[in-house]
Amino acid sequence: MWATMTKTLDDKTKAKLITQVTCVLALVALAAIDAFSVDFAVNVFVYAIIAGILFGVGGVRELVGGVREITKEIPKEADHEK
Amino acid sequence: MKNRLLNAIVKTPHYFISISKLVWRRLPYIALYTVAFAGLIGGAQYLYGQYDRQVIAKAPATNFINYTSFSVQNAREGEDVIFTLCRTHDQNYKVDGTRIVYIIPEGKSEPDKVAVHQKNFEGVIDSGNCQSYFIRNNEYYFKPGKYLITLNLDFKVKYDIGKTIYVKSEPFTIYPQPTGTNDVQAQLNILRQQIQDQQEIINRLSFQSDQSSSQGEANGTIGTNTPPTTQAVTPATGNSNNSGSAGNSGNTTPPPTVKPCRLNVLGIGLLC
Repeated sequence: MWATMTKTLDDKTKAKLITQVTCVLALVALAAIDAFSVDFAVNVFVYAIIAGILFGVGGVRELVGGVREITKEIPKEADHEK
Repeated sequence: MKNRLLNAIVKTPHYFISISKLVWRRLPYIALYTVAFAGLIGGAQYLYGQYDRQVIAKAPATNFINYTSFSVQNAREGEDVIFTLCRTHDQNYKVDGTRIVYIIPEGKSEPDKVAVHQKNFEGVIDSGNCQSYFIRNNEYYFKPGKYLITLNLDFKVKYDIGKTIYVKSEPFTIYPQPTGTNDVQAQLNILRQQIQDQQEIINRLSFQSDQSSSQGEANGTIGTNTPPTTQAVTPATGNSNNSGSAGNSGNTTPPPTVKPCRLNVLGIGLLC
């Protein structure tokens, strides 16, 4: 299903998705390192840059809303297949 | 699955280029959001830091180091005094402080204490909860009586905020030595004087025995063992017990040589 949905995505949308998911994972990883390590502290600017990229590339609403928001045309085809 | 993986690997440079183009195209928005988030997170950190600083400044010192017990063992005059400090602490703080020894005059109570000794010190709190320390006899000489010790400690916590803690021991007693004079030092001086007197006697006796043996040989009275006397004997006139004293005046006896000897008195090595 994921392959079917992502096939319809253009390169720009795919790049956006990849960038956003990578930024979210990086933020989570850095927050975990900051929380559990005693001597190492992540700089504020690192968080700011990653969050800036995450929101700057745009389409966060679609990301939060789900893939359905991204592939608005798919539901018609999925309903039709059912 | 294998095809999908191969496909992904082949398309990776393509995705990399697409992502780079996307980031480059959206750079102004990225910069704007970066500055906004930096301000937001920095501001939140600053506000939290100020709040935390106030909380720590208002917290009592016992929140960081709390002394639960300060006991001092009774001792005798001339001995080292041992005291034990028990405390809880969340870090091994570096402390510097002042230790004051008070004496409580006989018949008086704690409020009438008098300071007799003060020492500044520095150190790091050990990891354990209880630690014993010494006040050496050469550091302060405790005469018989009742005493009290206080500690005033300064240390720094988070944000370099200074804290001070004051702790007081229970009164303890120094008892006199059980035998002879109370003053151990006086006893030692008496013993030293006795040793010196004995040493002089030994020196005189050994000199006399050397003198008598050398003069006996010169007069041909070899083998006569005249016992040395404690009476005054001069080297030139000879011994009165010796029958050959008439011949002594003409003798050119060599000067007596004092043989070096070593005595071990009370564990102290003395040269004769």
